[in-house]
Amino acid sequence: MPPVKPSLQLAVAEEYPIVDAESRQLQGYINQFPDRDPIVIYEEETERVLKPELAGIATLLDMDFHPDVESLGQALARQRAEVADLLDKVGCRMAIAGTHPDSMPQTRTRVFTWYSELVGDVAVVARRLQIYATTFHITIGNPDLTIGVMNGMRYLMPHVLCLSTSSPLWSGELTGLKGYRQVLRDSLQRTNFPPTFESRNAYQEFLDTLIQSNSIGSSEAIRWDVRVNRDCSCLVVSVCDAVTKLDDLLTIGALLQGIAAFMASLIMNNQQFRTYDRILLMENKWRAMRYGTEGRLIDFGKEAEVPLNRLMWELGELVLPFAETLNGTRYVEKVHALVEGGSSADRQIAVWQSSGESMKAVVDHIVSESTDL
Amino acid sequence: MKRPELTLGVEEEYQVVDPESRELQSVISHFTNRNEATIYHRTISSELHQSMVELGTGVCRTPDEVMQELKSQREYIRDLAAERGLRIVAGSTHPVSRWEEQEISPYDRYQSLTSEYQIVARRMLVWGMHVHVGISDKAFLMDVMNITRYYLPHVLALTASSPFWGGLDTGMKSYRAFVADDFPRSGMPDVFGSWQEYEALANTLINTNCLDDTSKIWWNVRPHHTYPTLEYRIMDICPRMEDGVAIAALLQALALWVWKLRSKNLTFRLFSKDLIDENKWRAAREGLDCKLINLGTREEMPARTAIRELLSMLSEEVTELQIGSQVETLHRILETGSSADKQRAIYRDTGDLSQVVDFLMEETLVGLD
Repeated sequence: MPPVKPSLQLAVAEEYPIVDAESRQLQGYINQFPDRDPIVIYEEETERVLKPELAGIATLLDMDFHPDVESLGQALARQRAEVADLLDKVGCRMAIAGTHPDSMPQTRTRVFTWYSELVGDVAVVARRLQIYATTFHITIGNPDLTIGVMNGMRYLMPHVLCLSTSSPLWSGELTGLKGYRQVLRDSLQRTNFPPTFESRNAYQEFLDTLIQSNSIGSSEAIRWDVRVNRDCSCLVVSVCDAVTKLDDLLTIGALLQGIAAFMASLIMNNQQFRTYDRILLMENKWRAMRYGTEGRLIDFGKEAEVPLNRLMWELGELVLPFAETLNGTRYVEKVHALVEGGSSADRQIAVWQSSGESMKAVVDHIVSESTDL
Repeated sequence: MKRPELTLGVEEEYQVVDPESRELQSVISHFTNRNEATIYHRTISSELHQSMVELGTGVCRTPDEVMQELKSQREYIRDLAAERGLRIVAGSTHPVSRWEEQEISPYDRYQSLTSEYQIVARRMLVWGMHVHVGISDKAFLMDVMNITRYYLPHVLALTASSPFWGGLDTGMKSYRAFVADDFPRSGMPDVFGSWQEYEALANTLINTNCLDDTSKIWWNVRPHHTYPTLEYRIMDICPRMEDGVAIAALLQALALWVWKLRSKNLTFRLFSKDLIDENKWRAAREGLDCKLINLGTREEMPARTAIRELLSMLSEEVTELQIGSQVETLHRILETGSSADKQRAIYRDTGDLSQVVDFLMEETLVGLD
């Protein structure tokens, strides 16, 4: 096993849906990636209005890896505030959530560029995909260690998804799910849980098959909920809905950083987290999508359903010693309050119900939480 | 091991439409007042939406027998619909009608499905065809399931019949494949090391309250929860009855081929779900016009070529099962396209989706008295 300690630096790519301040309708979105230029994407009909004023947004986005959540939080707070100020100047707001509550993708004249490139001219699939994520990047270093950590982390992706759920409303419908974004996303290729890989070489062989058969150009076309970056030095976790509140985002970030440290430590001690069939993991993912923080997930070791909060206490015991060394204890401890208080999805549903099913009220609520810094 | 019987059974799900408006009609509770009512000598099953009707053949020894039974059942449901001035359609999506406007069947199973799966269930306005191949030996059934997964994208390409959805051209040949995969426990199964491994997994799901029984596993191919059959569910329904029968014959021949391999102590390479899903996406996206990957050589080849190679590989089984005429039908589909190709051609020529519905109504009745 690799003797090199994992580096465990943390970066976050946020997606910011842009809404019109008056109509609350979706206008476009801002997307960032740690390893390439950020992009600002507009609907065709609003491009002229938005583009000149927002050209500077890309330069505001934080691309850096941070040693701890504290430092990440400061950078993201500054970023969200600056982006919100710029949007305000053009009569727009950012409403950070996995879906826009009542944007009607079926009736749009044109799909966003990114998604249409993603799926070619598959119009309906693309139109469904106006979905937004918060993507966490955690450096590990050694490729075999990164693959090993990915194998172990698959199990905990539903747990993390529960905390981030923010897409209960879509196309003007109460979907009945807390995280409907994942249903939409999983209709794309190479999404959902990855298989397990014995080593970096086994992963490379898998990639080679896809590349040689012209299925993909590079590993960037792999969109699993947890995956590795191009040189297998970094984990990329994209299971989360776009996290509305920055405080919740930092809690999830600290938790993920701690989990990665825990998994790496196991491997370096010749242990590993048990791996389970994807079919079993999917059961927990469904429960996470459907019930969010109210879900009872299955502990497959015990073969029992367990409320999320209890699972989080158990996970906390494993992760906190590592979080302490990563300066993340304060944030990891907040996970229980997050579960008790509910995720963004729970609050959106509450606003929707208390406002007489007003989608505008829900958008206003999301905007308010997105900029509560 | 004794040669398995490889009997066949086919379930078809039909749309019920108004021939004037061409829209779906909610009728199932008028056809039957129970979840499953035997009327005449047939079992009509309700489905999730009120505009869906499912009928299944009995156990058939040959594709010719399947043809006779399907003919009889299509005539039966056609007449039942006609009594109310309605028509039936065998197609995997309705070109125009929208899921938001459909009624859910009033029966407990579907109300409970909708309660659990919410929007995912309400959007499930798709129709399929399921083919059962009788295999009583569980170990061999698992062999056939593992191995024949490889050829399911080929089968999907041949049957694709759902290019339109709620008035839109989806850009896909089988949009149903996407909608159906929204359910948990759907899509391509992973490989199982043995029947015992499958059973252990099913028991874990049942013990942890994920399932009451394995009827809620909706993979593209699955061991049936009641019958001693392997059930193939990946297919779009074929509007033309003879096309569906040809698919059933192909699946029967594949199972026989696996048995022959096994009796020679041979098997076929097993590929991961992730790789087979690449081919499935291509088949759903472009149907017979796609390129399928030979996962062994990592080379792409036109789907038509890959399917012709498959048919050629099965020539011995085709002879033994006397299914030459069904293989001719498959060659005809390769030449003229699947239903999705024909539907899109009509829309291209007329710009009118109601003409597509008319075409589907006609195709559904081809071969009936």
